[in-house]
Amino acid sequence: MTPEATGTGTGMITELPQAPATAFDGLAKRAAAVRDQVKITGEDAEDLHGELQGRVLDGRTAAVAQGEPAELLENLSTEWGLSWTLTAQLLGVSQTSIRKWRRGEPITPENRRGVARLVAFLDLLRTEYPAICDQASWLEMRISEESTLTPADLYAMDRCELLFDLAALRCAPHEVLYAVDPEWRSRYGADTGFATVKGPDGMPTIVVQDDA
Amino acid sequence: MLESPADAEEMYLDRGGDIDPYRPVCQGDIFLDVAIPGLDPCHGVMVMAHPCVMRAGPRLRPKVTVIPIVAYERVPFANWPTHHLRVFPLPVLDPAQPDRAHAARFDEFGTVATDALNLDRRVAMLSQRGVLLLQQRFIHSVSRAEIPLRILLEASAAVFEELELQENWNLTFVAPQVEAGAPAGDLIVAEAEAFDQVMLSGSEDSTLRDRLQVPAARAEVRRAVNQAIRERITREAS
Repeated sequence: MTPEATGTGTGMITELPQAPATAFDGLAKRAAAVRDQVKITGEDAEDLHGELQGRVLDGRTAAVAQGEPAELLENLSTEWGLSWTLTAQLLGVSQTSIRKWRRGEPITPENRRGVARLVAFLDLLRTEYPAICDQASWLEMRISEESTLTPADLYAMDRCELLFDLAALRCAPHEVLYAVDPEWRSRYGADTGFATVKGPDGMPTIVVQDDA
Repeated sequence: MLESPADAEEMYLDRGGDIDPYRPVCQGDIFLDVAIPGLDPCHGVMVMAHPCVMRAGPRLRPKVTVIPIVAYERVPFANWPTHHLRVFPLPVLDPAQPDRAHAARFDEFGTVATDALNLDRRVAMLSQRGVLLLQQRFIHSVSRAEIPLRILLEASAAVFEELELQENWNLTFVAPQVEAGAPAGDLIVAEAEAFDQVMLSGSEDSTLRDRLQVPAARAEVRRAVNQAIRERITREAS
């Protein structure tokens, strides 16, 4: 043992004996390399998968877009069960715009494609993710009880790749929320200090959260 | 914090001329040429009663709570959270007169006969977000409480859903007759009864109206109402 001045006291540093290299050292390094490679490959696969899903959606959108926009809108309501308000939210347009299109007023090519894309997205959910039995209902459910975000919000944010991962259970809800926004708890947290409960007349009543 | 719309378009469902009569009267609807007893003459009135309070079954109650609308200065959207807290600003109420601004006053109330709210006099309807902004601002003005819009939406979502479903119903069964020359008023009242019967259908322990209270069941209710519409069309065609 060698005495060493530390400047703070009379501590002693103990030199540990050198362990001889074993087979485990080499194996650990190889395992680390494999792990790194798997991670990189996984990330590449994730990117590729996301891109391909986007292309699948684009292909279906192009096919659906051949239909009349007014019929597609009607289809969203009658077949899928979307409300007009939800449709407006998903398309990122005002409720007034939806009302105008329903009356047969002109729709821009960009919005026409948006309508077709929404129909194609719902169709993709139905065919590729059959575990989701009611696609419209799924869109309106919160991703987690701790957040106000719904799949509909993510769709409006153009984060379809996260929705496909959520639908396939490839990502946990919290992973999705962090991918949307690392600050989701402050921006989209469910804890507002208030809650809605069933009131004495059977109708929803707003109460302070502690009383919920 | 009190919120504001991004632009005027966001807060209105419809405004200006040719507002169709098919959407049931709702909180935030604006009518012209309606006098509020006991108050000074005003530009118009805004319905303040919550949709479920202003109705007894499918019919409107005989009287409804309103507040006056007056000409008012233009309030920049950025100032909504902190200024003019005793009014609900109404920018560009009439797109034909974009330079004129109005506001609904929270400091005066009145009731008017429901019959006075003739649908021909309805000049604007607020969007869902518009109604929530109105509720948030009004609650603040009378209590100083700031309720997040999301919470207000949770409490009123089922009502908004039902209004939209009833409008669809009216567009299917009333609009064609009105376009053929029939007056809308009586038809709308009659169809309100028919629509109410559909909303009261369902299982023994849960009507469609009850199920609208459950967010996860709303899509199913919408499809059920659409199915009822299709069945009636088929029935009447045969």
